Amino acid sequence: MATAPIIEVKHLYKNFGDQTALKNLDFSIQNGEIFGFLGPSGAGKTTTIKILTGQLVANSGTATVLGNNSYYFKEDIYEHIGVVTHDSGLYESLSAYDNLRTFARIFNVDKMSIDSLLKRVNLYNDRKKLVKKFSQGMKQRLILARAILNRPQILFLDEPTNGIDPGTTQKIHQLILELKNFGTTVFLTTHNMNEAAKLCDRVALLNNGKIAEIGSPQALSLKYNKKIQYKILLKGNTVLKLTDSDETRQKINWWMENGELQTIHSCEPTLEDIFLEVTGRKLK
Amino acid sequence: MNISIRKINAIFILRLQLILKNFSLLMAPLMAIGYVIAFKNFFPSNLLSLRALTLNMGIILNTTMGGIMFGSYPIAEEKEHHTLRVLMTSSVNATEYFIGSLLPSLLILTLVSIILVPLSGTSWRQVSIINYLVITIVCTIISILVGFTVGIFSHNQTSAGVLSLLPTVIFTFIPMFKGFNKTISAISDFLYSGVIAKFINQSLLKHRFTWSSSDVGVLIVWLIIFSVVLIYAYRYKRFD
Repeated sequence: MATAPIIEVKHLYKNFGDQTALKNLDFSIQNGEIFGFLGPSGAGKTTTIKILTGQLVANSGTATVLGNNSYYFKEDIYEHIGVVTHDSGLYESLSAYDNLRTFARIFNVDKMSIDSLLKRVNLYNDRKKLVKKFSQGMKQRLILARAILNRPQILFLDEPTNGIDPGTTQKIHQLILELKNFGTTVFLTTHNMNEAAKLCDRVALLNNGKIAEIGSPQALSLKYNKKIQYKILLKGNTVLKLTDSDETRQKINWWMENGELQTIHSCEPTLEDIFLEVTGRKLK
Repeated sequence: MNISIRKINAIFILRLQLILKNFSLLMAPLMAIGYVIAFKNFFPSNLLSLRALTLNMGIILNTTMGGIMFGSYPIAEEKEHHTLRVLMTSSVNATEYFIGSLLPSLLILTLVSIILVPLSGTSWRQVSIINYLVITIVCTIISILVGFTVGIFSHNQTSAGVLSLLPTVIFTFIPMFKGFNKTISAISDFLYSGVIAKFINQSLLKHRFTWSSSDVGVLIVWLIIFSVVLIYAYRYKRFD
């Protein structure tokens, strides 16, 4: 029996003056999923997160989170969700520990959890340092730690790795996957197709406020893999890109039998390629 | 709307930590203390009128200018650094935020008001401590409510400073200079901070302060006015 979706969006519209930011959005997210909202800047990703978290009101349609219509959210709902947006702030004149201690008091979380959380985000040794002395990557990890302090059922992440160094990005990815293993549902917006492909169970491609395509990265990749091709590296560094055919398969067999084949890769389209094909524009 | 004591306590501790680390915010109560100490030392006279003037200026600076600053700057700072939105999406509601923010400000400004009396060379025998506390606490609360309203309409600390200017000038300087002009004195009687000036003057110069219905009325009316203004300002503007 199918369970009720943890997030359900129906016919959602949002206008800012004459500009339509969201046009008839329809999607649902199941418990425990990492759902990626993929689109270029201005596609409507942040607007969607703000409506889903009750910070913005839609013009029409409904957004239901944990069974609650986001238009009628009460404060209690925030005890079950975590929100990280690109403008989430920190108390810079306080230490990392005191920042988390404040929110531990608000959520009635045991202060012992703060140390273990700081260890998980690799900030334990800097816990007494004032946040204003933190690098951007450290701040982003602390913001993420704060968002998961209350062990939320749903975590909303708005471009959490934007402008962050690769090392920190990797740590954040690891943490997101750990959260999924604990059963947290993650709603992730990004314009980084590698991030989406690596983390997300399903993605929605958003363009000009409309969902252009939705599905798992693998399913989308196969769906748009209309011209099956292989990228082959032979001995002597010869690189070939061959379209699938009987002749190609025979050649590959021959190279394999004679020890000529070094590497072989299928050439499915990336999410970036699919986005370009579906919308006619690039992600960045 | 549910109110959680735990969340109010969390905001109280947070605000207390932030206030004590914010030197520019502490300027108003420190200025009041510095002013009273300096005036007492520069004019070491036992003239009660001089002592009343010194104490009046110190207390009004602290309760009015301090209250407005303590109310407005933290909200503006939270908006500037995007932490207010984080609190609001962390299950803290506006009532919990306002109460949790008001209490540490009130605590610090009231402690300063109390120490201003001995610092000015005035004895508690000359000033009824109960009346003194009632008047200074109510006036400080009204000033903080003014500050909250200013904070709601401010985008950052600079705009909070600009928007605070008019109420600070009206409620701080009119009662301070009531002795210089009859019109100013008449206006001062209708201001909540004017009740402080009246209380100190009567306590020190006439050796007795008695509550009049106009004093009580002035305090209650201003308290109601700024509570209603704050509620409407919040409903209109929220924390955007």
